[in-house]
Amino acid sequence: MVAVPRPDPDRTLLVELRSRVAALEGRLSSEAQLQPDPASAANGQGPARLLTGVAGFDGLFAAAGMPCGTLHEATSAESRSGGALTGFAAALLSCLAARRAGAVLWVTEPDGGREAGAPNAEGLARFGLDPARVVLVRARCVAEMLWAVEEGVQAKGVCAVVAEMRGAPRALDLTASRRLLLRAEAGGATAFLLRHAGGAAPTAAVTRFRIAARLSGGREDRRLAPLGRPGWRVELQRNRDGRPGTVELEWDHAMRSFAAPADREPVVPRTGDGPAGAPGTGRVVAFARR
Amino acid sequence: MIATRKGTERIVALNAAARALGILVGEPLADARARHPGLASDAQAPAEEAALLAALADWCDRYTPLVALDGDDGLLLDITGCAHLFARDGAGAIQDDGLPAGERVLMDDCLRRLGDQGFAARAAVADTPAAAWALARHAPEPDGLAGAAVGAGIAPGAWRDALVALPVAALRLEEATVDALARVGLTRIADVVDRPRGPLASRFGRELVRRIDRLRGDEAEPISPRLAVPLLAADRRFFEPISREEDVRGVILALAERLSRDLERRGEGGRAFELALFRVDGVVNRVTVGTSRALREPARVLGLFAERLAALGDDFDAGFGFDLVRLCVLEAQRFEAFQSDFTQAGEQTEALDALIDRLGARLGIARVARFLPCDSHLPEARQKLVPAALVDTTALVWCSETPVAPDTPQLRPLRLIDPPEPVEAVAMVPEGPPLRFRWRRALYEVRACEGPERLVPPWWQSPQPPQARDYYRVEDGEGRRFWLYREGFYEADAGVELRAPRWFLQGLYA
Repeated sequence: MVAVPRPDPDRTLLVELRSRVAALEGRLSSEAQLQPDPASAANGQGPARLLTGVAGFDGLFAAAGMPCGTLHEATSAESRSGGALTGFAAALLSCLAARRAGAVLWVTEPDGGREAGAPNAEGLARFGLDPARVVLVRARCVAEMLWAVEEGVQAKGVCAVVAEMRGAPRALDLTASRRLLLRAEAGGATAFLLRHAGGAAPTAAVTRFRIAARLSGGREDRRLAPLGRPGWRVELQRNRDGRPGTVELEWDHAMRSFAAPADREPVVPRTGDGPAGAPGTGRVVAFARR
Repeated sequence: MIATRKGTERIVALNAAARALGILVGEPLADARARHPGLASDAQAPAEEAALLAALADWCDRYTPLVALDGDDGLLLDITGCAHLFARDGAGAIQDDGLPAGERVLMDDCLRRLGDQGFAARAAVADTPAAAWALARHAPEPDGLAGAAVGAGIAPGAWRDALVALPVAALRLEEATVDALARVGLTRIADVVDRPRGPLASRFGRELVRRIDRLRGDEAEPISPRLAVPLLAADRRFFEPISREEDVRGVILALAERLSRDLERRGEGGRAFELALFRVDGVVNRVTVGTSRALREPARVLGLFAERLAALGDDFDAGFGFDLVRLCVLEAQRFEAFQSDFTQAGEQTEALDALIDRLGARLGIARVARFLPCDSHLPEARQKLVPAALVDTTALVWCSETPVAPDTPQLRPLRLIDPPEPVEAVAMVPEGPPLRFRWRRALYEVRACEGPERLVPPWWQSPQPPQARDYYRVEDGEGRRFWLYREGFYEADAGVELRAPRWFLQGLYA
């Protein structure tokens, strides 16, 4: 008998127990662990790829998992979707920061906070990103912001740099972003460009994610939290390290990892039209139905 | 220079040519114009004059760190222990007028440079501030030198010969006291200085006796310096001014090396450095950098200043060059040496601190911040941004318990809009969750909602009773999530009108 992956009381219990054991043992769930790359591990730069544990997402990349130590770009359609964009970035940063030492440099534009608000420490903490590790830099113009990002990705004590901006600033052209990409690859920190209401301006980033919120629509069966987990519809518009595609993701606060949405999970594992990724969290578990 | 005093325009300052015509300070402008119709006048600008004097005081910093303003047209320099540095050959050689060589050279140099800048200055060097003040302000002018830069000095211990002939006003007394003294025939310092103190004090007030004591040096007269005295300073003078940025950098490096030796001897490192660039035309550029940990490597100090100079960009104007460059340590702290281990944790922290310093030097120290948790339940007061260079990282303790249940709601938003923006919201029942709301002229339909969570601002912080806030986490038709709150309740105001509470949007969720 195969259990339908619906929020089943037993399954909920199992996930809860697993997360408790993982928290007690201080280890992470096996799906979300990273495969260390021998070369970068020797440099002391940590693993080269980030496995989220969602096959549909990891499989989009050439060697299973999002590459670290390079430049990524994430955009949202409107600045009112800033929450979803920030959440996606916070989730990725949380995964990264759990596996690498060093601070997270968060660089904002001067009036970025007026339109979509300022990053909130408690919200980041819930995503598993310790606010004490975040250094917030408020630049006065885009040129200063790019300079700060460039300094940040080269510094040793930094594991990730986030640059947040509105739209497509003119100063961030192909040359400037290529410069950031090269610096990030040389320095080892992962850089994210978050562009609120950003159009399709060309940049040299390895990827471009288009982030939109995923409608949960309220779940009657979750009385305590009808909104459910945060979820995104992630459109990988450009990918130099694999193929573009669209995937729906959720964030599991308890496991501190990405998860495939429970209501869209395939019962049969996806057949490979790419390299085989790591097994997803949505593993088929057998239970006796009551 | 004219100003309005007692309802008429009076002359407050004169140049040498006007003085030669016999015009006096304090005379009404109309009287002077009647005699000399071609008189050019200009209104006095006290604010600009004060700024000019302050700039001049900064410039005088090249002689001694202790420079104080004296009234609105004078400067007091405490050159104790500084003067011998200016003597060219053999410190302490006594000149023919009894003044040590260092003091003489210092004063002459100061007057010459001020003269080159177009100031007519009078200077005096003496044992006590009071004696120098008396001599500078009340010494008779040598003939034919009216208005030119004049310097006078009193040899150590010789104040009596130089000052007794001066009028009592040179004691810096109030006008009433001077008049009272004149009425009994005491007009010169010689008349009062050796009189019995008791009768003088009882008749003319204690102030007179105090002034005499200060003149004689029996009572110390402290001066209050304008700028904080640096802990350590190193400077270099140039015969030929330098203006290229590379040269300035080279000088900073050399000075930092000198300072680093001094700091090492004290077992300290600098937390705040100041670079003073004295331009030939009298402008002093000061650049200050702070560091997040005690620092003394010259290359890192230079790096911080290089960032600051780069940030100044075109504002950095060398003019005709700098003839004096000074590097000071304003603040020092014990230098903690550490040994690197295999985990490289210490190196990482140090690298991060260096980055924070570099960013702070270029952008301003407050723009590189960290989240400091605050003890408040109000979301907008829960966190505070503090300069990363100044905060002690052990204070940044954020509670980060892992939620055990998989569907634990996220209580706090990821982005906080401060101040909260008012929205128009419609609710099914008066105190129920919102059905739809309008934010920034766009309408949002609420599909799902969590809440309410009630937060009440502290009642002891405002005179009116605080308005309770009911927070709701809502999701709109496209999955976007917002944090809304309703401020206050529906209540009958004075029994007649129903007052509707207001809605605000304070945050964005993922």
